[in-house]
Amino acid sequence: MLRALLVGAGVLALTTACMAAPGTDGVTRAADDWLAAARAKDATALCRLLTPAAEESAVTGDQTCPQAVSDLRLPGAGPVGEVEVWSDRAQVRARADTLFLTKIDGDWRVSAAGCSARPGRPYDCEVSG
Amino acid sequence: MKRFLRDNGLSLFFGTIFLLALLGQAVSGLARYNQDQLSSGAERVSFWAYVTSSSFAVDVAENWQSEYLQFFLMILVTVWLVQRGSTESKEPDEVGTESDEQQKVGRHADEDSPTWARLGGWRTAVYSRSLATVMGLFFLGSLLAQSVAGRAAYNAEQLGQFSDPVSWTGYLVSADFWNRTLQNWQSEFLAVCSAVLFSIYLRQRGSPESKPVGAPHEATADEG
Repeated sequence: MLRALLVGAGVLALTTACMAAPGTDGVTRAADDWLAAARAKDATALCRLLTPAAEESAVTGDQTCPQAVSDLRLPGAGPVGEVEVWSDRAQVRARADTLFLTKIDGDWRVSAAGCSARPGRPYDCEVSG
Repeated sequence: MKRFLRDNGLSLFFGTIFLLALLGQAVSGLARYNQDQLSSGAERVSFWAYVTSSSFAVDVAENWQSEYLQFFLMILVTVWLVQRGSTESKEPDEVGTESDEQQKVGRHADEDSPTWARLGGWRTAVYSRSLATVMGLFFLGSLLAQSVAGRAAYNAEQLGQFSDPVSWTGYLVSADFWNRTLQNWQSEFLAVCSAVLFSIYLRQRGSPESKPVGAPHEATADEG
């Protein structure tokens, strides 16, 4: 019984150790693409990088996504700074923006951008979903 | 085989229902986790991805640490504190670590006593505290696992709500960590207190956790 418990504790310790440091390459690449598209004001590329939920929240009425995104204030000044990845969520700090990303079908997509920090509250973002 | 099953029935029973309950927790936890994932715009995860996730690990570890804390405290506190009439307590005049003769250590050991109980010195000192030590280490290990896994799960939630993640020390003083911890501790302490008090007045015929049915309420440590 003690041996079984020791094995269980070992599995739990390994599990917690393994999930502590997921890779950041995909996140950095997606954030770089987003910032480049924002600098180039390439609304089609920006829409391609958004999560479906964020795209849905950006669009109002009969607008297409590129039309809706063109109206937003999305800073593109880079480069990518600090990156935090936890499970299938990530946060990227750039010079003039903080981005939030979600992993969907193996790819990192932007779930919130144009975000400003608010003390004690979630970020206020130009687009989020 | 039949004899083995009879002689180890108690640990086999609890070991089996432990594994079944853990599997049930994994299955139901996965269903709830995937509901949350879909409602927050993320994608569903597989069973394997869930059971190796921080979310499952923290849910398991927070319960483990409180169980080991319960047994650690019960083992240690009952050396010095008694409850007259309870089967969970020893007699009031036996308070303390008791004499070597009562504990059958060193030269008072029997022929079939464990080796480390007979040897004396540091080995007997270590062995004399081994039960509480192991329970205490399992408690600390589970609490550490809870804090690491809890931080990872909490930070994923934070990012999903477009908020900043927290450091490990920041998580240790967070409401999430203490709410998870204290909701488990209070239920363990209530269960122990109930077992201590109920065993004074109530009986379960044939159970070693109970006094004999006809034993008086005042009889302490009278299991049978």
